[in-house]
Amino acid sequence: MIDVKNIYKNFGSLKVLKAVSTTIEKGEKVVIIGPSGSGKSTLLRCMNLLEEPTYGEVWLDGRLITPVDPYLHRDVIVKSATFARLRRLRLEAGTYMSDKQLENALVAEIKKNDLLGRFEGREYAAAMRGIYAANQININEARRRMGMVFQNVNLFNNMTVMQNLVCAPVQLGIKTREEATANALRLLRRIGLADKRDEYPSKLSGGQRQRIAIVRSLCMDPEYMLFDEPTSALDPEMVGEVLQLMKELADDGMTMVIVTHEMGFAREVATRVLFMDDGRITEEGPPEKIFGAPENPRLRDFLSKVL
Amino acid sequence: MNAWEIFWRQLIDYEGYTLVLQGLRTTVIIAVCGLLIGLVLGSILAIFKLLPRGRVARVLGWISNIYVALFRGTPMVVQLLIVHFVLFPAIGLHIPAEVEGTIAFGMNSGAYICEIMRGGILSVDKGQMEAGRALGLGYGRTMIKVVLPQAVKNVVPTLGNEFIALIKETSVVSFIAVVDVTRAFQAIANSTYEYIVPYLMLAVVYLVLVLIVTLVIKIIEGRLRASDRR
Repeated sequence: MIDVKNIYKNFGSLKVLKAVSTTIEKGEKVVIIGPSGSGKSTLLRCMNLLEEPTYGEVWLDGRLITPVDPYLHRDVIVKSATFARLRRLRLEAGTYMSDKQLENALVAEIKKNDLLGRFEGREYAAAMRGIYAANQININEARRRMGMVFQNVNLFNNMTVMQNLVCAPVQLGIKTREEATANALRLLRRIGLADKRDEYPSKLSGGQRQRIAIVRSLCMDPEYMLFDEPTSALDPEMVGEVLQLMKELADDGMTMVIVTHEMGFAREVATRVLFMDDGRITEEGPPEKIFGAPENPRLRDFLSKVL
Repeated sequence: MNAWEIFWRQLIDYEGYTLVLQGLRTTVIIAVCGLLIGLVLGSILAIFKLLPRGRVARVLGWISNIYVALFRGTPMVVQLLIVHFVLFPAIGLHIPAEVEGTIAFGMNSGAYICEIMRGGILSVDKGQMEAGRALGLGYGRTMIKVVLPQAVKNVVPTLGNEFIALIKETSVVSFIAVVDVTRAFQAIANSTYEYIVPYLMLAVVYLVLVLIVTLVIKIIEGRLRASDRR
């Protein structure tokens, strides 16, 4: 389960993601659609921390991938120096609220106005460290369980196909070189590219490269696969072979999160579709509903342009 | 006896060639070892400059910046003199002047190679690092296995340039009483009072050295380009 909790992402003054929350359950095939610049790719990249969210947390199977976001932990806010200061001020001014009410009001105010600073006292720091230590998972370990496929493929240019496939499993000590090679060969046979094992990526076609990139991720035996517009940079006649492989993966029961503009594919494969617009998830549901009976006017507008 | 005969007699009959060969060896050793030291040092400094943000990274970046500023901002001869007359006496270490020279040249070329490598690393597509990280490889491992090999391939021509400059620059090593090939020919010239032929021959020796290096670089480049589409 990938649990995205209230993620914000700012690039300087540009707010790309605004309060995005979603949960991806095991076995789901979630397709994220939306106009360009709506934050689809950024959301996907936040899931394996290629981008670090400005606020918010990402959890993988109950373990924390991102740093702790104090705004998501009420007991942490209560320990902050800012909270203590505000509380003192309110009490000095006199208040009719009960302790509980006052606490609620102050926490809400701190959250709303982003009042927490870098240094909030020792207790606060200890609480933050405590949460982190108890829940965090090493990011490299988390990434091993989440394969990622990129729009521009990113096969290692200095390695042959086979070296690309065995590099990570062998380097990380997950498989011996023989196991990794055998496994890679099996996967290459499956996509019919076993004869390309000693070619460099520059000698392959775009579609072959992307399929090998998918296989490279599979060589790590991931539990989740993230696809960042895997067919957008391909020539039209090569899109089919890549989508075919992804469909096979879906049929095998892989949990997948896919950012794509291929609406036909989304309709066919997705168990859930997220429509993103202006940094928010504005509509989500099963593909029949999203494509059949869209509610949001922006979604209707978007679909009328792409379908 | 003409100038050529005088030079030839000094070189062969009075065994000037032993000095020349010894000097040639010194020149080549200092240049090659200097380049190797420079490569390692330069790569490390370049990575310091490019580390992803963080407090340690910032300190290392500053160290790298200061190092490069110091070694690019002062003449090679001055650095050589400081290493020989200030640095090693100060730490009380007595090592041969040749080794001191090698270290000085290595440190100097490290500063230049740092910038060359930084450019090379930046020229590698960011996606390569991302792909490595997304597979669960750490920063260092992705750097060494994926990014640096491609960076080195991109900078081989520039590194060749640096090596050639280094070979020629070693001629100042006689400032700390090391007999390199320049010093050897100088000695021949001084003992015969006949300057034209020795110095012209010296120029030819450097020229031949550089031509050989150029050829070697070309071969290495060809090998490394094997993974590119032609």
